[in-house]
Amino acid sequence: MRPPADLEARVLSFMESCVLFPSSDPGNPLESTQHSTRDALLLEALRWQAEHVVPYGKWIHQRNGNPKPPSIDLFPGLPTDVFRYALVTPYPTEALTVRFETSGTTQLPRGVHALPHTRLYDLGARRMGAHMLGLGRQPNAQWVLLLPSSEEAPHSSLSHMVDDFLSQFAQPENVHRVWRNSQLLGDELTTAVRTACRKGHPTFLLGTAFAFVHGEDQLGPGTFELPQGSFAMQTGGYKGRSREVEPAMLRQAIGARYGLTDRCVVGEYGMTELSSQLYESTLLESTPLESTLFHSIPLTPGTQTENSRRGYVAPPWVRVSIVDPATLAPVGEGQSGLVRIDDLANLHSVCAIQTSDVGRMTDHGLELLGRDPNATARGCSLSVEDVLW
Amino acid sequence: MVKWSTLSVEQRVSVLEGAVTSLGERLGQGDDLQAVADSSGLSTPMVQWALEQELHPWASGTLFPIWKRHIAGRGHQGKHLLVLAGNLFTGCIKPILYSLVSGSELWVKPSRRDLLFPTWFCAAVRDTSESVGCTAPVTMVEDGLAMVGDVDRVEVFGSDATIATWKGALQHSNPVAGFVGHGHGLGVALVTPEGLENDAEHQWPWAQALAMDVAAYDQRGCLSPHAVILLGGDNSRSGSFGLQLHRALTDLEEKLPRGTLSVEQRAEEHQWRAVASTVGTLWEGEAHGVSWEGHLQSLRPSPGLRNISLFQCENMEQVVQILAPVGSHLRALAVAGHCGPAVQGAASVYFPQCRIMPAGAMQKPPLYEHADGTPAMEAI
Repeated sequence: MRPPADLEARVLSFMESCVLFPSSDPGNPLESTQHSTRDALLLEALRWQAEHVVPYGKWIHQRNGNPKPPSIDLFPGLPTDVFRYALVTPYPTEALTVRFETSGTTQLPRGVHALPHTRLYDLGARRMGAHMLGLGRQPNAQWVLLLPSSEEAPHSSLSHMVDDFLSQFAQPENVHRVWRNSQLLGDELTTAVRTACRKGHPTFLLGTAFAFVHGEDQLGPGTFELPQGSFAMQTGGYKGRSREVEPAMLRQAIGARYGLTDRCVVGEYGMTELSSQLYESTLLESTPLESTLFHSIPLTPGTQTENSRRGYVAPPWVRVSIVDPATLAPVGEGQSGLVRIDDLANLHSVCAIQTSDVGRMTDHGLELLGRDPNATARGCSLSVEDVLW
Repeated sequence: MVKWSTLSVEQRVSVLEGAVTSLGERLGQGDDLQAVADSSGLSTPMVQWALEQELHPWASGTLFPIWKRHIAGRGHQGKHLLVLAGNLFTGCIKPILYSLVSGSELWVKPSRRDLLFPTWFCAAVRDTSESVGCTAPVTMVEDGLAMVGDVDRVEVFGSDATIATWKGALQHSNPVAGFVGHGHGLGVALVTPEGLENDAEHQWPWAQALAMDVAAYDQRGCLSPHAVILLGGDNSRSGSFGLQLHRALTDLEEKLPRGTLSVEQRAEEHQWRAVASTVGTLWEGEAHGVSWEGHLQSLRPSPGLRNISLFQCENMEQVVQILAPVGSHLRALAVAGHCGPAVQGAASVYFPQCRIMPAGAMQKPPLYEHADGTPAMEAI
């Protein structure tokens, strides 16, 4: 079942034409207009999905019994685990040409996000990559990739996105892959970074958080001084693939290792079940010199500390909200809760996604919060992940 | 002051029973009871229920027969170290009592996540022993690893990784000392065809019994069930059993309310329930969820917190196959209905460490033994 005749075209048009801002400003009339357009499209999409995506229809029925609620917030977000156990799509399997899968060496089924094509995915990723990371502005940039290629990981949405970045923004001779066969190649990483330093070209380090940790574990005491305009983008969790490092510690370690200021170490927040990504906006708030290298966007005034400035910024076609963990209803401004993401680029599956991440909205975007240190002991019962990971 | 080890067993039992009584009285008062509830994450009625089950019976007449039958003459006396790690709050009671009744001195390293109850219990033992002119036999310690070289026996509760750490430390510095590790685990319930027979009225007592197993400690215990396997039966009877279990859990919500959930636990619950509703049938209460998911390809344990999955298997071969991935962690199998030779045989061959209990008694394994090695079939 295809979406209503022109819905995909309208979503594509909106994603192509909307203006990306460095951070959210509720007083900005253009941003408000874009939000209205986004929300109208989301509501239309959710109504269609409620009717045609069977697992989502069942979840709506379970949550509130009303298959066609009047507002976005009354459509429940579909918890991500459903992607492990059901095909979340309105299409017959033969129409699904793209299959992104969650990672993990687990006995749990992998989550599958199956799509008929990646037009919406690619458009959104490119626009956000160009805006938040400045991709395309530095044709001589060296790319050092601490993640598998699409060839090695054909079902990884992250690998798909980065390989698409390469096809759009990179010169093939400037691409250095230092992750192969599920391993970080420490010597090749060293060589690639040294070469980049020698050439004096800006260098983009892109990788998973655990790959950067492997880098820290392999590289010994040596450090680098990457040229101006360089940055590191890290993403994802650990899932037992390396020791776990607190985000701020990892950021500090990456900065110290590669000679990057704190602002030039950027977090990306994405997941297989989504088609869009959020980025920390620190590159948009870089020093004047860095700013001219990346963008012509002026600095955000103010001299707040690095940590308080950090937040994940969503593109205009994504609506991020924080919901009450008990009721899944939106919480008040500034309160913490579970992160829900409504992603228009998920038109071909389900736009409303309920994550298990805990966060709150700040002036700088979405702040992800760690586990509650005051949580009571879990007892001696094994958790599902303890058993099956 | 006389030394603890010089007391007769009758004197030690008397002191320990006095400590249990004293702690029981303290926890009969509102603020302290509430403090344990807050510390454990359980509701106040659930804490009271747990105390009735696990603490009060030791106040009189229970400890001496246990000592006589299972501890006397086994050479356990000496210096013991007990390492607790975020267990159920009552999980420390038996290890403390069993060590002390043997005449041992005990060092207890509590979990920083659950300090309150073990601290109060040890304080009660200390006060009671000193009141009869005996040195305190139990000491709370922060750094248990520093003690490892000086003890005769170490008993550790915690994850597999925690146990491995302590075992390694002991082997390195004190290889002759005894070691007992109690790892995390989970339980599963099995409803045999007899439990599914006939109508809802017939199923109700079994459902009530299993509901108690699910509600106890909000499924935080390593004996708590995370899945119910319905053996044989048709869709109609199986679905009916799910509904009965839902009703029984609804009844318990009032009598034994669920405790507080963290944000992360709420998230796990939503994830599990969403899957349940999309792949099967989900019955939700204010504080519980029961899913009926038909035939299984692989086990999907619940996140606990009074959420339970019901699956169907045709025979014990299928049950064994489904449980294989969690087999080494399986601590308890509750049986609702007749526990015939096929069930007993399969369990003893494939899950020898698993205790088999009647439905409703999952928190009452046959016997806590020092080596946790009593025969699995003892209760049947």
